[in-house]
Amino acid sequence: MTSYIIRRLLLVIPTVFFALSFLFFLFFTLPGDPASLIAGGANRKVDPAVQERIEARYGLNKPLHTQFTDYWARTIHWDLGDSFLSQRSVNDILGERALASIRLGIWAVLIEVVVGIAVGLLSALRRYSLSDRITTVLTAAASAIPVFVLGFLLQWLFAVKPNQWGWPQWARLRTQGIGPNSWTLFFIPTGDQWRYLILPAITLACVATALAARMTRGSMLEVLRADYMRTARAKGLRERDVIMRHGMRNAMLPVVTLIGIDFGTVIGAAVLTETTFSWPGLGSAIANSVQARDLPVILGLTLAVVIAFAIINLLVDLSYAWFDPRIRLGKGEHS
Amino acid sequence: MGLSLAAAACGGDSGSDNNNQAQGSGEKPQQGGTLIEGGTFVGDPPSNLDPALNQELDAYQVVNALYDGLTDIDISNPDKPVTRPMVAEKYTSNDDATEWTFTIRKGLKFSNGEEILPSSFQRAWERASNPDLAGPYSYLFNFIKGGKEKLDGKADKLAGVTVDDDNMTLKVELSAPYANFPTVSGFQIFFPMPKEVDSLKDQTSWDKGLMIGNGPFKLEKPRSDTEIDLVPNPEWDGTKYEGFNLPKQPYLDKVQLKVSADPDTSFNAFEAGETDTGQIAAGRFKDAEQFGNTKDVDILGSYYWDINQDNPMLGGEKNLLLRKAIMQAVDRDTINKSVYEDSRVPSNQVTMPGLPGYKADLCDFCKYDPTQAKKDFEEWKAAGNKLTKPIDLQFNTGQNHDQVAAIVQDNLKAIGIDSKPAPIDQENYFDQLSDGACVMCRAGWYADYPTYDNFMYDLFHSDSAHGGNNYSNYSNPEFDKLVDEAKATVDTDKANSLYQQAETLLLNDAAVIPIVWYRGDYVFNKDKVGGFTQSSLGLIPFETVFIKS
Amino acid sequence: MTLVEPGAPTAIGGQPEPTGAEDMGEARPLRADVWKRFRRNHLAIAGLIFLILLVLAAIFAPWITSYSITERSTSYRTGPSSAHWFGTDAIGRDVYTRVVYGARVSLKIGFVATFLLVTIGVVLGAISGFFGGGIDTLITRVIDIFLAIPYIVLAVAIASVFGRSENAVILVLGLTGWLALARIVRASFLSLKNLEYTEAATALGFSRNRIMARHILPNALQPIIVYGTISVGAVILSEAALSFLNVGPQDPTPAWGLMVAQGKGSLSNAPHLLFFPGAAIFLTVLAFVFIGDGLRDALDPKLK
Repeated sequence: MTSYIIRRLLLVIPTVFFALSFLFFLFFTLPGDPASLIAGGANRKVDPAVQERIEARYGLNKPLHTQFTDYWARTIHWDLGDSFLSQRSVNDILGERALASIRLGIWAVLIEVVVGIAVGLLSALRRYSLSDRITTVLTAAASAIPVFVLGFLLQWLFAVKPNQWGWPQWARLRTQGIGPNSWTLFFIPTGDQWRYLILPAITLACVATALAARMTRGSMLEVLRADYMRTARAKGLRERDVIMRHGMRNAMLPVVTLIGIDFGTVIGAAVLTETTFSWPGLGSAIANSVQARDLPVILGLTLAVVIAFAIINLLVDLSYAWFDPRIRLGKGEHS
Repeated sequence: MGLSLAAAACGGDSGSDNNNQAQGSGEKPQQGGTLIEGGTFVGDPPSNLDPALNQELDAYQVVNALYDGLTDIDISNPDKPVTRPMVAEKYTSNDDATEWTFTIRKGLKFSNGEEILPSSFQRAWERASNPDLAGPYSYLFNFIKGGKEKLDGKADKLAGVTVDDDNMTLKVELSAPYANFPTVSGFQIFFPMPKEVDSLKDQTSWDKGLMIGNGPFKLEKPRSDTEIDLVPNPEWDGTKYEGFNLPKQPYLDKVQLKVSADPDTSFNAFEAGETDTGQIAAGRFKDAEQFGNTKDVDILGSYYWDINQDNPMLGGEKNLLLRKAIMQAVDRDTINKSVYEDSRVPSNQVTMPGLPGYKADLCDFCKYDPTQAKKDFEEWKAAGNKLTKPIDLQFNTGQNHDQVAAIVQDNLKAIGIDSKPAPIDQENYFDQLSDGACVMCRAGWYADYPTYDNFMYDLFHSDSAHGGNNYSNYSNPEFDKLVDEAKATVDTDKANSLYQQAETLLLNDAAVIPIVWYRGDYVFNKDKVGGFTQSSLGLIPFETVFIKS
Repeated sequence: MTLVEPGAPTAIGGQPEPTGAEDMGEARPLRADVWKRFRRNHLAIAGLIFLILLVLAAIFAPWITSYSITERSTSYRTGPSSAHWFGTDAIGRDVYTRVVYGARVSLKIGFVATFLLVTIGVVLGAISGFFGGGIDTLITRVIDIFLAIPYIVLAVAIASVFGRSENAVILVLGLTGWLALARIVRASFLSLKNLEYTEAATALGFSRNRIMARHILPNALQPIIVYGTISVGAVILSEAALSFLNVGPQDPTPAWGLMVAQGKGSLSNAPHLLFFPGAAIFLTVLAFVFIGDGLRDALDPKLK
């Protein structure tokens, strides 16, 4: 087991290296000069002398391979450099943004896990009944709404309209921002914080919850039909025990995979929700830095996301052993 | 930097926004309260607050509140805006405007109590012209003698700057005669700096902490990506600036500028009551009318299409009639009413009301006249010319210029001219144009500082062609001569007349197709906020905004 | 992974990645049975009917609309009326016309991008699963690397190179969407190649390509078909997301996603700008989900 973990952790290194190097070269081949964009080139033509000076300042006029080695030389020491646009330390930016993303992500995944799995389970147990059909339609519908449309709709319903109708403050939610940024136990909102958290969390969780519900239902149905379930029932176990002891664990495998992917996504790619609600997370920071070709920020934040993803994948794979003892770690298809 | 308002805005009820003077006339400003400002940062957080590095209009709002410059523009009479000395008590020049002497007021202080001296400006200017700092606006130091050498790294100091702290004089020798230098000297890159910047190891760390400035406000805490908090600067005294009608201290206790990631969200936040001010998002101008707003403020900004004079099909004397046809074919009113929801002003020239020297109606055919347009087009064709291919209507993606292009295309089609929209990615749009890619390309320009030459020289002088902001590559020696002479003329009336003649030439050559002038786009909660307006540069005078009780 | 944040079409299909060989090797349902079973699923039929109507609307668009997509009127942002069934947009264009023509755009993007990602995913997944060894490791590594890179980065990069247009969107979605499918196909091939009939085929001397194409692939088809169907809907949703991020088709292309992104602020004063294209997306995606569900149940060998 330990050797498996170590091997997996070591595998992260080449993944990170190739992913980031790929991005590095990708951005140098893209049209759009970072030096020009830093100087406001999106709005006007930048004075060529100024552009040259900016290039010199950020080492953008050095040959590509020099910049590449310089980049890795400092990244190995976890020095992610300074943003081209604002000269803020990328380590600082990462710290702020990662915390915000993780907190939002935890709540989105919690909703997904609790609501999604419960709904999926129930509809699997009551398969083909009316409530199952209704749930099928609802979950399909929930996965068919563009995320940002849902976000703006919720904003409008729970913050803008209440103001126009003159509702008291305690009945209203907030449209944007991270608010007071006050938390206990790292992720529990205190004071007014929950008003800022709830709409983005629901928006972010909505599609994922629907998908998790469908996945759970599908997976559970597969399992309920399986041979070993028939054996368990034939042995005379109660249906409830059959489900909980034998069915659940096996059914959870693919769901856990999904949740793992989702957790990584909500941390690093929740750009739509973050932009809609001005939640200062990693996704929107990466998106903005890509538009501005702010290379240190793009690479620094992506590095963190890639590593986070790898660790989450590892945890998910480790959990397989708990869910299904037949799976021997180290063999098999999961990488 | 402060803004002059009318001493007492008389007449008009508090709902009337027909002037850019103090709102809620007749209301006495009260002390105290926090303004939650949500209309400035509606997409990105500010990149820089350092006046030597900033090039964003949004961030300028904050920089402007943190610092006061040598001069500022007074718009208490909107028809006759004028530059007034601010931190400078007075300024004089020699006869040919190559040398300007500023006398700095005594007794002004930075927020840490340090006295503001002429050397405060010299220190700031040496810092801002340091080639290693590479500020986007550092090219402005080319105005000053020795500036180019300093920027190229050939000199250590700006040769043309001499200070005498005992006599409080700051003498500036220019590299060429320039009558508008005092106005330009009020721009952010020329703001003063305290001694502390000399001890910084890394100049870019200046705006990461609590910058020390001489403006009405100071930073309460280091800025974050989500919020910037300003509190009054106790060392600031607005009454010391004669003629500006500023209070001794700002009325507000605090200004919180919130950063939003999306303009629609930010307007929703305003409508939800979470912020006291907001920026009017596209599509929401009708909603904005029920709130206090700055829609009637004339902003020094112009939106136009350049036509490349180097293009054999469109440019030069022989195609003048074609360009005149284009000029008269465009229906600016429809563009303004539809794309801009009637929030801007259809324009008939590049310069606009509120700009010192502006004179209306310099061009008699710069208006919508499709009949005459058709005639001109026919006449052009009759002379043996023809369009070899559809005219490319180039614009940058990401804003609603595609809708403007669609209307222009229709307008041209109506008189028989074939054209097609040609979007170019935002990231390298202006670079490409500057390299000569412009055929008929859309451009816009916000004044950096309120001078006629900022529009004429920077946008249409031959110096700015082929590599600068003159995408039309308009190179008319007569135009150049008029502009160069105007720049050197100290007599304002004479200079303005020269600029007007130059612009008339430009318009009669139809090298540029003006579309609209910009206007203010803020909303505010008029039950809570008083004194809220925008200057012609789009800046908010936070020191005269107050919370109503 | 798509910008349906988060979730791959696998999850929309509610079908787990095959982990074992339990449902392989059993009799595949006959084609006639498949259709009979599909027919019994009312939601799937409803989805199919909607899709057929949509395709017809796309084909016959000029006959069922009375304006052109760029034709402007002088009523700006007005709501539904007898002259303009779905209202007008900011510069006076008829929303109904644009939504109908938008079907062409969205369906094109949906089908072409899905075709692209299915092709790449199946080919790479099959090679990876069947041949194993070095090439398998290489392909799975590549998949891992690309899955780890945040989506928006790749999307903006591709869009910068290919411009902001329908084709760029198709490329973006096609080039990034194959990752999950490749994994599924790989898993199928891995398990299938160990079955007896594969051994038999090998013993009989059939070439590897033939075994892959004629023996394994048909059995692995079910997840591919379901995934592909639902992908079309997911791609259409992603187009909306990309338009929101300003990386999609530009005006005057009447893409639904673009119209929704442009209309997001109009809830209070011009909801029709958001509602009609939004409903179009919603119903289309829903249709594909139901059809996908129906196909999955109909193709499932164990379902009676």
